[in-house]
Amino acid sequence: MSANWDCYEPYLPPYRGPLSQLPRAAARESYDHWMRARPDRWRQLRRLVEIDVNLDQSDASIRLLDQWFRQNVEADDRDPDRLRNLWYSVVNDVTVVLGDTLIDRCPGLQWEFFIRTGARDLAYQKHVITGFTRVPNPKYNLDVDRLVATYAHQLIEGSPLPDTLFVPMLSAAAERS
Amino acid sequence: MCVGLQAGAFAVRTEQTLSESGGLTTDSAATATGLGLLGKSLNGIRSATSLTDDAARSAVPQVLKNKQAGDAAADSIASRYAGAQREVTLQAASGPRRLDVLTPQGLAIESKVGRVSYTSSVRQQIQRDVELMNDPTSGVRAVEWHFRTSAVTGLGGPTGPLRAALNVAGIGIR
Repeated sequence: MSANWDCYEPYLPPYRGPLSQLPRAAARESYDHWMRARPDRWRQLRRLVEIDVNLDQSDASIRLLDQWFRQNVEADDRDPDRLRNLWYSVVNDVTVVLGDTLIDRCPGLQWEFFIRTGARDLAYQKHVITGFTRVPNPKYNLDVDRLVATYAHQLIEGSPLPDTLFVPMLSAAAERS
Repeated sequence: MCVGLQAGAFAVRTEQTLSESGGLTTDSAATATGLGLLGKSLNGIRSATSLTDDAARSAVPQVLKNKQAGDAAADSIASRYAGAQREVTLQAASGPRRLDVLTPQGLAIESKVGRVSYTSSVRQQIQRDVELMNDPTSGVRAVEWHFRTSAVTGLGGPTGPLRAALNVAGIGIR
């Protein structure tokens, strides 16, 4: 499996730095920008993986995307604890694909600019999925970006992992919708 | 009070350092690099607090001393993991869980100073940690509890019942 980087354009957010640290207006603008960019991010990821994956919302396609991700994700040459910079954009794109897929499968779910808690919350001012009705915690949310980024860091570290993450993650989340 | 003010001042500097981190493509990237800077700032906190003299210490209520010792222990743990986040809250399905340290690889660490018993609040922490470890939507791969001996009491580590509960839960003890 390989990545077709030739036509890939990374996602560039309007502001730099962690979303939780941005002023509210800038974080909101980042969220709106990110939401508008989703169709293009689908296109970018489709092109990137097209050699090995016909990307759509089926479990079979998501499973192949997972395999492609596992086999291709790269650490930074100079800092092996970090991903190669372009891969943070790929993490973003995978987040879009997985999140949109989950929302299309579960009509009660939606993307939300998360400001229900304070700055110490991992999801604060981020794009997360909310609307889960089968959990007792009303602030429960799915931070797909954090999950995919964590997965990527586990992979470059060589952590022992289950064979697949994306489909089980979507299934577990759907059961809570 | 003196110690508290110093710690507060350095906490502000930590925030500033984080907000200055940039040049990255996405929020995940920014988080990873920004937290590397956070680690450096946290070292600064330790240095500052170590400069306080005995007189200042004696004026500080014990509860603040305990918090200071606990924070220093957690900062020390976080500094061993590149990009680790300190004192973050994760919304589990059953409720929030505040994590002393969370590494980019999904290792959550609870830092304890002194002798720790199996109380109801500790029991709830363990239950939530188990929930997070078993939840593919949590991003938490493993949980470890790190114990340190208290400089005040000279005691440290889990009591027998707590150690047993942690073992049953699959939580690592360091």
